[in-house]
Amino acid sequence: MLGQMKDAKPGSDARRWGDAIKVIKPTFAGKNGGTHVNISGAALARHAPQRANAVKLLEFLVSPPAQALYAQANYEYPVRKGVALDPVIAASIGELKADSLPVAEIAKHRKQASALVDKVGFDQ
Amino acid sequence: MKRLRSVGPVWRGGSIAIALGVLVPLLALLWLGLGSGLGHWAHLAGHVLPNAALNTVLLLLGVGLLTLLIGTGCAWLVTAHDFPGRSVLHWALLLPLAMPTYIVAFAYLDLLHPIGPLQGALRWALGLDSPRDLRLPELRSMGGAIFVLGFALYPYVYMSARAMFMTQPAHLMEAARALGETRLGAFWRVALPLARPALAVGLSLALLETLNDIGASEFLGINTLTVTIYTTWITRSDLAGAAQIASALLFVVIALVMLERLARQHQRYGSAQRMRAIQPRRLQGASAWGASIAAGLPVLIGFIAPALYLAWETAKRLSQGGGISSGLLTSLVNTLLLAAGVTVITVGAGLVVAWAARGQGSIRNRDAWVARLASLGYAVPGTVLAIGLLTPALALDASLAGLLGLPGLPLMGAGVVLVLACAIRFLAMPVGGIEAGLARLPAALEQASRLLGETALGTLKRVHLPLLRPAIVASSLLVFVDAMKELPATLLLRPANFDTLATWLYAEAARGTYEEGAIAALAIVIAGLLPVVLLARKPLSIGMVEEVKK
Repeated sequence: MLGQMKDAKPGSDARRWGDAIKVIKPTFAGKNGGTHVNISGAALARHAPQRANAVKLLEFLVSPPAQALYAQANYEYPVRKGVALDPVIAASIGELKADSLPVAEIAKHRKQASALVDKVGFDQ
Repeated sequence: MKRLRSVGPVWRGGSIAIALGVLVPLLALLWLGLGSGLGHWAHLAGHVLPNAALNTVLLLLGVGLLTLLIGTGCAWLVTAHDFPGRSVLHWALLLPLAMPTYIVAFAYLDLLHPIGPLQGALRWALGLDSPRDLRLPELRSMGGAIFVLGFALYPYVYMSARAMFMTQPAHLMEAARALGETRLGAFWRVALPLARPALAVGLSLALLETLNDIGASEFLGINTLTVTIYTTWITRSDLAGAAQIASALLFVVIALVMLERLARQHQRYGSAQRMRAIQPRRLQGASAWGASIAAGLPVLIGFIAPALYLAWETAKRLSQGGGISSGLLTSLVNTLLLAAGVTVITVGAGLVVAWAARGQGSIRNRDAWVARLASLGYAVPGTVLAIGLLTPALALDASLAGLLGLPGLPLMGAGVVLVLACAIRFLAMPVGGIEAGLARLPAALEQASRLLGETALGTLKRVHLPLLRPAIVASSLLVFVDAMKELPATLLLRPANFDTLATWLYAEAARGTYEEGAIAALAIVIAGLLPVVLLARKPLSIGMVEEVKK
């Protein structure tokens, strides 16, 4: 969304709004603290009938050409090292230092986290 | 008195079974809500409910005031006055009924967006350059939600208020005027108090719709009880919590239904005798044009502006060669299939319940009571119904899957549960409609047919069904269109990879992409216009069709 606005036609309202947005990358405390990154994952169902083809698709999705497509078409960060960022994203947000906390660890605390969200009124 | 008509055990049994089916989700809900521990409840009561309940109450108050103001004001304006445009406006004021609340919200979010057409034009007119130089009140607020819901739902009040004003005898107003009351005073002290029962009925319908709404509140960022039920179940995967909030919401619903019942008890005194109706007074000059504008504004805001926006966006999309994606076409087919299935089941069940309730005397009371129970669903918000149906449906699915050796969830997966939920929610319309139709048929018809040797079923088939056709067609149409528009229950109960036009639009709006949402919305609005046209073409029977809707 931000990429689309910053990449919009020069002079358009969307571009002006996009240019006015400055992105801050919040990091966790601690010496290894990085920025929390949401991942778009893919999984294969255990009893999937077309297992071989599905594996091929997943392998393609993480291949350098497919990741480059993601970066260009969608302004997303590629999951693969060595694939270039979209120039608009590289110029406005820049390289990302992802936090190293495993997602499984985060998922374990989901219930407590949502209770906390209610408690502090995060969504209000 | 000897009973003249008896209801066969099959009909009565069927009717009772249907009523019990309607009660299942409500009982399951209470069981689920009460059975899941107080620790849970403490968290909800401490951190979730107060805010959601406050929002819900504020929204109900605001929408209630706005719909009463617009609905009653416009009904009195068109009934007691004549001004340019009145002949069109008196039915055009019903048009917002064709717009589900979430579509009005969807349209206004884009229309009033800081870089949308209205604010853009304002800035251009004022010579301003940046959206930052002109700040209008934010639509994503309580005020915005009241505005959107108020202009979308006022026709419920308008409809019943107008039916009431039209049947009010003119001599009462004339007596008040002869006794020295001003026109306004006579309205306040005579016409309005007489219309109070009708206003309460319209108001409770508008408020029940407000409670049912999930799309508009969510798009506008208002965290109501209904929205909280959805997020607690979907994003927190907490069925017990959702059931507890739903039980709390059920009490608000019961309060509203009691308001409506209370009002209906006294509904008769306004129209006891058929007398000369109030004659519209011709307005002149500025006041005539003022009346045109005042009565035209709700139509403009509640229907014309959002409808034009949707038509414009659809035309833009089609002319850009965007075309209609196969996904959207599939959801159109899904929507029609769902609506057709719901209509067949609902009208069939409605016929059984209404036919079983046609007896007389003490018998009639008992069967009519069953019919009232079967009609409860209309008051229950879609999310509440869905949460209540989930547990029994999952249990049934699990045992069915075990019995037949099927994988997964056979009923959920095939959409059977969704169809049932919609059928429960809309059963009141055919029950009410067919009951009203039956009440108009003289009992002698059935007696004659039975005396001549026809069976009960044969009488229904050969005598009553042909005579009931208008009532059946009208209630089928209402059910079909309401099922097409249905969002909250569909969102929660639809099978995987199954989208209707409404959920398609919801998904687009939730993502913030508005590409094909307008096309889906336009299709729903065009379908929604059908019953409104039906309503508008019979201005005098307006009260009757409102009866059908109940």
